[in-house]
Amino acid sequence: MSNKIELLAPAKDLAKAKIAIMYGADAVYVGGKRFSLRSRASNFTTEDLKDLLAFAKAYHAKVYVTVNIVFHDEDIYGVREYLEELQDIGVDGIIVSSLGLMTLCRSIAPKLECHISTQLSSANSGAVETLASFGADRVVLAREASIYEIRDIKAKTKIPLEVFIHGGMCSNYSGRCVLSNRMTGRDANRGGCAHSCRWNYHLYDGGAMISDPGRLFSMSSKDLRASAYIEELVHLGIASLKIEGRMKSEYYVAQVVKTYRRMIDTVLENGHLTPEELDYYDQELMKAENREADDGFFSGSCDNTKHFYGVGSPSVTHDYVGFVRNYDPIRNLALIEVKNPFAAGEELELFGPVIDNYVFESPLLFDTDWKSIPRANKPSDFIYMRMPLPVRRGDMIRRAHRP
Amino acid sequence: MELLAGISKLDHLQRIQHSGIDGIVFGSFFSLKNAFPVDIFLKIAEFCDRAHLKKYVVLDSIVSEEEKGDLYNYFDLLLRLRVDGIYFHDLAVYDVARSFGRTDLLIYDGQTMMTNSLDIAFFLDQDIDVVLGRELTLEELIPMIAKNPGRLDMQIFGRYRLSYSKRNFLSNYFKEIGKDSDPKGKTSFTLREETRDYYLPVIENEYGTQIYTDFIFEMYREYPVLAPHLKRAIIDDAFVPASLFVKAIHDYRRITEENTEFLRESLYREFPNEGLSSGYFYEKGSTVKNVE
Repeated sequence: MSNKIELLAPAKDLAKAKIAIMYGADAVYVGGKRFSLRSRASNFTTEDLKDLLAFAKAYHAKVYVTVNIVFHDEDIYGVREYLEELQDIGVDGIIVSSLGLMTLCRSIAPKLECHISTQLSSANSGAVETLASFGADRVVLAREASIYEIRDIKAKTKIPLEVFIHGGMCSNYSGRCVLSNRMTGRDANRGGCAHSCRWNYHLYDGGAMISDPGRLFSMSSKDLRASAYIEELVHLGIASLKIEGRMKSEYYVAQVVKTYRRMIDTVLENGHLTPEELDYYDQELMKAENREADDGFFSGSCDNTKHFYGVGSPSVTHDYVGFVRNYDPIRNLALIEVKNPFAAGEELELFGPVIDNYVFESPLLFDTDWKSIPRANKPSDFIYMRMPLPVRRGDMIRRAHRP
Repeated sequence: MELLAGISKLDHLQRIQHSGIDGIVFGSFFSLKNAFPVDIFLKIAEFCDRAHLKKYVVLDSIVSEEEKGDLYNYFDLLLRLRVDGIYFHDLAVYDVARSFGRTDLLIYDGQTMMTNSLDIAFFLDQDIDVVLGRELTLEELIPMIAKNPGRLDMQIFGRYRLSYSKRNFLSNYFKEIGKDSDPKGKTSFTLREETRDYYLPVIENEYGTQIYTDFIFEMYREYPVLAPHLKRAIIDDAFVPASLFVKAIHDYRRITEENTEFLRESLYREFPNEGLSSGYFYEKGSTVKNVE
């Protein structure tokens, strides 16, 4: 089976984009310094983008840039030059929520693919066909579409479709929520979303409060995990499977990308995923998630079990403790950047783009002055440790979560 | 310019029929807040014909794939009713209108998404009228209207929609706390964030859940200047008391630069507790963007 499908990963900065590609993403989407909905992400300078494009080329990966804020006129200044620059440096495409901007891009930077953002909440084949007729190259479907609807839309349209498979969910239709604007003055559609949907609210009927004081009303949605639908999405011929999370850590990106990479490859190779394989991959995804997740609208609807009321219980099963910065194969020594404290003698798990979960006991640890230390205490410190097998830059170390 | 009344209650129609309004904005299927059962909807259409009022229909829900057939049939009905215009949000409506060769009826109400001149120009270039976004400041609006005189629509009174979800937030919450009643369609619910004093009307219906502003927008001061350059202006009744809605219609019919302050003061004096506000006109809606 050789159904080509793209695994598309988010990246907050250059380092995370490279991690995503190393761990198996076919493409990454990133924000520039302007015009991107994740204003709190580090975001990319032109030099960063050039660096990323060169890196991606070596892996035959693509780079898309989000130009997806809902523009006001004051934001448009400089966008022409920006689009021309993205085209000139070789970016593969942009993700837009503005049809006006798409039309502008078509005329001044025609080599850039225009992907319609999920901000447009395209949930039916009529909308998708209309967007294609307006000049879109790809449409990201609304996260509200069920697998049944995705199947129908795919059958009735020719344009490449992109589907979210993992990550945070807007509890409202994307782009149709300005709660943040009213509650905080921060424009949700221009990168300032304060996540007002995740706050607690009292509910009144007429003048009477009817909410439970111990369990207030909330719109907070659990995250999406569509692992159970990967097999069908691959068979349907969806062009791209998208992971949400431009604010997420390198560990999250690595673990989630690697897991979906292996799921997709298994389907492409065997035609299916067994229940045992699916269960294994779900456990792998839970090693990175810090919010509970479910299948969102894929199964058709979202009842109360798919919301958080009160404080959600963290579901992460593992802590990220170290990142391999360098490795000396002669001395079998790795330079590790500490991410969370860990101690010599603890049971750890090593994983990487080519290393599957290798469990080992943490050996002696050394600081950068070669003094033996019982414990790596400070995140961002560097230490040396002997590795149980050859590693390479970008491999990661984690430890089963201690409640 | 046409002055239109968006109605969601039948008695509101009866109370404004002789107000001198030019047309009615109403809806049935695919309408989030102006929805009537289809039999009432048809009666309103007949009433408009008899009263020589223009008929504008709202289709502002996001359309799911399984609803597409219903959308086609409904559009066919609207053509047979000879409606004067269709306010739409989902591009599926454009697709259906194109199949009937009647995109000329369409007016795009992008709500939160219609905030810049590029997008306005895009739809006008398709010969589709456009409703201006509600989150725009007056400073932003003026050049847009000046650039497209007589081509833009605007909501000039009423509450704005703050959010729209496919999720049944109220039903789900009732289930979560073991409350045994059906909240669907009820207009008496409000939400108040636990640390803020905004009371936000919230409604759940077959299209999901929508939350509206705590304030009721009015633009008495600005209307005399802007109105001559608009194509249509809409006074909406959703979550607005009937007496206030009726007064607003009568006022907007007679606002001039000379009497606007008098009418506005009278409005605020008569309805001091309804959260009347100039909305985002003088309140820039963004403090976080393009962080370097």
